Amino acid sequence: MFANIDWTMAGAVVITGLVVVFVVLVLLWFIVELMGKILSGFGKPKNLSQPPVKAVEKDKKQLPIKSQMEIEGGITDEVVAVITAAISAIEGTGNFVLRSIRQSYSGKRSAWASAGIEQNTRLF
Amino acid sequence: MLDLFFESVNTIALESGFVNVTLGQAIMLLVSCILLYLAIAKQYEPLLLLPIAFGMLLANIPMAGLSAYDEGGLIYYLYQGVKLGIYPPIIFLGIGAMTDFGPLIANPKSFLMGAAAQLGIFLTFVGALVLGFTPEQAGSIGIIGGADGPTAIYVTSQLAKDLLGPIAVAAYSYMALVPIIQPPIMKALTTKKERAVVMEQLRPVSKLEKVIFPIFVTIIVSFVVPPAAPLVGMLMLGNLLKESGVTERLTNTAKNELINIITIFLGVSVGATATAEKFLTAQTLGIIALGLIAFGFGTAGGVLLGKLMYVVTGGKINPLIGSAGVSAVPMAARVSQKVGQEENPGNFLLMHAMGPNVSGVIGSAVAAGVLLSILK
Repeated sequence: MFANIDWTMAGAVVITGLVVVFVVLVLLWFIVELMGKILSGFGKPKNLSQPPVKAVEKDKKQLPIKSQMEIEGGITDEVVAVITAAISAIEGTGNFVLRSIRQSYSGKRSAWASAGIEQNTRLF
Repeated sequence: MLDLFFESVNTIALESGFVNVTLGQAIMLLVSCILLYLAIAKQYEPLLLLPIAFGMLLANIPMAGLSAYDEGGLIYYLYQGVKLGIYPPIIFLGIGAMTDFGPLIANPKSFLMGAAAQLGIFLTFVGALVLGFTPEQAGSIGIIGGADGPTAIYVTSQLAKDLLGPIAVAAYSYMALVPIIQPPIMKALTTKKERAVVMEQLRPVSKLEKVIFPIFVTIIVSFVVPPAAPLVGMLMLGNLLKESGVTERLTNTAKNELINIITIFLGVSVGATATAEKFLTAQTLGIIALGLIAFGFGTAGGVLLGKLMYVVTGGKINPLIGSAGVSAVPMAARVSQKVGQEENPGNFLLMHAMGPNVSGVIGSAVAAGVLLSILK
């Protein structure tokens, strides 16, 4: 039952296998870290330089803009908050100014029906 | 007239299953029924175990010609997809379309735990050699430790076709048993303090990173280990289809209809390789014992590296996520979550454990590539 094993071959397979698996995955680790640093590096400098310079101007301009934010009647504050949060999540940033929210009328179809039609008639 | 009638009845009787059944076939029919029970009543990986069990049943019906070896039979042709290494990469395509590599990209240190969990593969390889298996067979048995069904089937179909039945049954049964096998090992190798570690929230991962990731992983892994390219390439293609956002129809098909079709064909034809002659051997028992060792050592390897990383990072990493490097997605990650929650009810390790979990899929594909390049 216990055969004559070629221990050198067995050792070679085990060591090569473990080394290669580790080397490949460590390599992938470093590249992913690098990719993460480069890509988040692009985002930061722009954000840092813009706000201090434009903050002064924006502060003066933001007040009139805020009072001009047009929210259609019938839309509660909670809905406004949810819409703002949704836009923020999609855009990935809070750097935007919300100017108006109004209900869209697309005939008598509900939003779900419109979405279904849009999905089924989408181009290939 | 009457003689002809009796002759025909006689012929039919002589060619019927009842007259031609062997003891081995009867036993295999029983085994397949037990596996069907496990799949249906106990819900052990039913998506694969049920077709495998039924394929086993069909293959052992006397005179039916439905084993994977009966040339010209239905299952013989379906089996070609296994023999030629076509089905497992296509299943990986579907798996990639369902996988989110975000947690891994956000915390790439998880790659290490995915690598360490492949320890089970190589220790089991040695164990199989000790039990008298040939190196090719030992490699196929070892890959059970990758906890990855398609990878195990892919490697076995290239290195040790004859063992496909027992290895597939062992691989999927143990994958279903992950919630039972892992926790004792995880608890034995960690302290209460280590288990209670709460990890900091993962950073958000941008779409660009998620699109670039599958592309460069394919290139790098395939350059280093070309035999792993079919598996990793298809996995990453599926992932790219999903993350690019521009191929929604294809993604939907890959992760639904396509993977379901191939799963049915794969399961039935793999099960149908388990004829009495191939399955009822001492080797099968050896494979079942070794499979358990493979899973055990894989879990231990991942947890131990997790402990090392806990020490090196000054307590920022919870070693429990290391066991998720065993690539049974998402079961192993859920087990890490559960054991962590036992220690600290407010601790949500699931997303953190998904990092090692999916890196284990890549890791076991790399290990498969290494075994194929050395042993084929």
